[in-house]
Amino acid sequence: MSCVNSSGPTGLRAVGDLAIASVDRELVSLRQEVRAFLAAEGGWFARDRARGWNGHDRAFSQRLAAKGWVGLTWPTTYGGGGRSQAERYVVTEELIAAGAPVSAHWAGDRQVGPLLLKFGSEALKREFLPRLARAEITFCLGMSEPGAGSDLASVRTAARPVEGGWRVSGQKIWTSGAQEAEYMVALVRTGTEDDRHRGLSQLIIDLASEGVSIRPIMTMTGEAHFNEVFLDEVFVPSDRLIGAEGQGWAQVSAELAYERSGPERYLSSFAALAEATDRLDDDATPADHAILGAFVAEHFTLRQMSLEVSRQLSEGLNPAVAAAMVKDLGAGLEQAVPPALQALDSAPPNSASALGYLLKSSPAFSLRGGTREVLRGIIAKDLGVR
Amino acid sequence: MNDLSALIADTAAKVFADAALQPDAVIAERIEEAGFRGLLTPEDRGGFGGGLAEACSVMRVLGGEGVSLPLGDLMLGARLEAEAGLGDGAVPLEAVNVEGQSTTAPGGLFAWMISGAPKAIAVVQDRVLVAGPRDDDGLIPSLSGRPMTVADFASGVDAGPAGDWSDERIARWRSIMNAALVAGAVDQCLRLTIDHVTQRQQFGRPLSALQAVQQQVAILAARSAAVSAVVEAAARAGEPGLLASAAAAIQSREAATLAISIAHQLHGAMGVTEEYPLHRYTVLLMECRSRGRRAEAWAERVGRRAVSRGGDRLWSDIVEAA
Repeated sequence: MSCVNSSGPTGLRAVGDLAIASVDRELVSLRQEVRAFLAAEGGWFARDRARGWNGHDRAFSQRLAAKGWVGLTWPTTYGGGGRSQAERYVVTEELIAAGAPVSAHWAGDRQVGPLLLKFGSEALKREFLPRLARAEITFCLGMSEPGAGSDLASVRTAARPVEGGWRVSGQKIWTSGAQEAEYMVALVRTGTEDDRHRGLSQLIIDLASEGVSIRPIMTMTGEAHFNEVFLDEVFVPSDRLIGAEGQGWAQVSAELAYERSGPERYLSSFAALAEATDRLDDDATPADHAILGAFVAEHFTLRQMSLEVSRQLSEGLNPAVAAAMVKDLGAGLEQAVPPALQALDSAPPNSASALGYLLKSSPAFSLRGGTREVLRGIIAKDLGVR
Repeated sequence: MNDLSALIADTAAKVFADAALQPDAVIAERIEEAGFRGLLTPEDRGGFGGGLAEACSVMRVLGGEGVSLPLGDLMLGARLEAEAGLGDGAVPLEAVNVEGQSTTAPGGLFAWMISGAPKAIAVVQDRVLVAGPRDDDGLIPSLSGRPMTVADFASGVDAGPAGDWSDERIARWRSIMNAALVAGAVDQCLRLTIDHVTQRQQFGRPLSALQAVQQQVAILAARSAAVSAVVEAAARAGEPGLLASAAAAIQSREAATLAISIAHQLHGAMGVTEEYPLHRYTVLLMECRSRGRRAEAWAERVGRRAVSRGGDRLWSDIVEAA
């Protein structure tokens, strides 16, 4: 047979497969451990599961941290677990699929930790990483402003240099979890507005500082996880600068692949799908089963895409475009599920169900973490059509 | 893609270069010379002993050339024949597509042709059955113009026991290989579209300067990545399960439909002309939508299984699916 000119690197393949198999076995046992932990936690009601990563329970986060599952990939010198991205992925997807309330450690684990590891000073790493890994403190991310949503580079919150640091004034909005958080990573303007991208820096703001006021914003789900955060001449010491002054934009961009590709970007409506799986009975039509089955298959597809981005991240690549695709398709799936499942039911959705909650929360899924239009712009740019 | 798959993809790229411009007989000859027919056939039966990953590599390249041949069926048929104790893998192939619709073989029916006459192969009640075309049908042109006929399994030859090959398993392999063909063709639609919108000037600037155009290209690119991701995952696993096979069928249908619609819309009338290559991919994708089990039927199976296993197992089934 002459399919290829050589006999093929069969020996190499076998060695590679063995290595992969041993890693896989470790991951399987970690997954079982996480599932057992979650089962012992007792599970959550459907509506709470549907809240996903907005669910807040610091005691839960601390129990998770005690297992070593917060800051899993960070170096042990900073209180992390020193484990692989693949292991973190397993823990994360099990938490999200179960609908565990993770918001008390979510921003810290997903973004602030990697940000500090990459750009933070040694002092910042030592000060914050161990406490984040124990889930003792919660961070929020101060990005959007009333005049800077998708156009994040037009941030106006200003940091004016003073002796020993900055005085920060301005307003952040749509800040998730600020009312529960001790600290904010804020994107602020340390240069002039003409500098656009180059005038931005990232500061850690202690939310207990004088001049900080936080006002929750009620949404149609009946909750307030967003906030307005007002900053009035808030003093920030100079050692709370992350990375270099003027590098805030580049640093934020580097974070986004982490924010856009994880399992939370396609699993937000999974609780409603699981609920519907239990509700469909023998009377369901073939078309009903097909609707359900197509969504299950779509979850399989998105998981493969998300895993691939995770693999690239762990190889040190920056898969920003693949991550944008996961988030765009993932949000599309998350938004298609609730109305389609509503159509399967003869009774109107009730507000205690996962479906009832997701119908109201899902319109925002294609806004948070980068709007659909911005994501598609990123993809188009990469393809050379922008 | 593993190293072996990459090597095979290189070979396939040479074999199928300009294949769309060649007569079917020439492509058939090249396929035989390259040994692709025996790609999935075990080595002790004179084949190459390749697996799903290698087969998908070849299918993807074929799709990228816009050649609408059911090569996957040929490779799978050769393996079935060999395992059932029939077929020497050396008979010349003829480019006749037998898309079986016979009521006597409702399940994992697939097709093809050897030995100067069209030939179809199916598994019926755990036996491999080999059949020729139904006499009264003659040859019907398919969308791509290639002759197609309906097989008569009532008068089929029993080649032997089907072994590990059930209708279901055949349907799964076909779904993945078809998706690989679709992935190659959709990717090419995307490339052609990108070239066109960046070169074609309207309103004094390239079409790609228009945000509406950019967004459509991005939508197509994401769906193209999705169908490729499913094929890659299935190829890595080696033996496709229900979920991967269903996902492949569903993503193929979505990607094919989106690629045809977006690529043609952005090409303007240029896309439908004989002189421009887009039509080859369009017709191939249209044919692919009809190959194998319908996406709806796949989805229904997945839905039924999910309901019978219950919501608590839904997640672990997705994770453990191959």
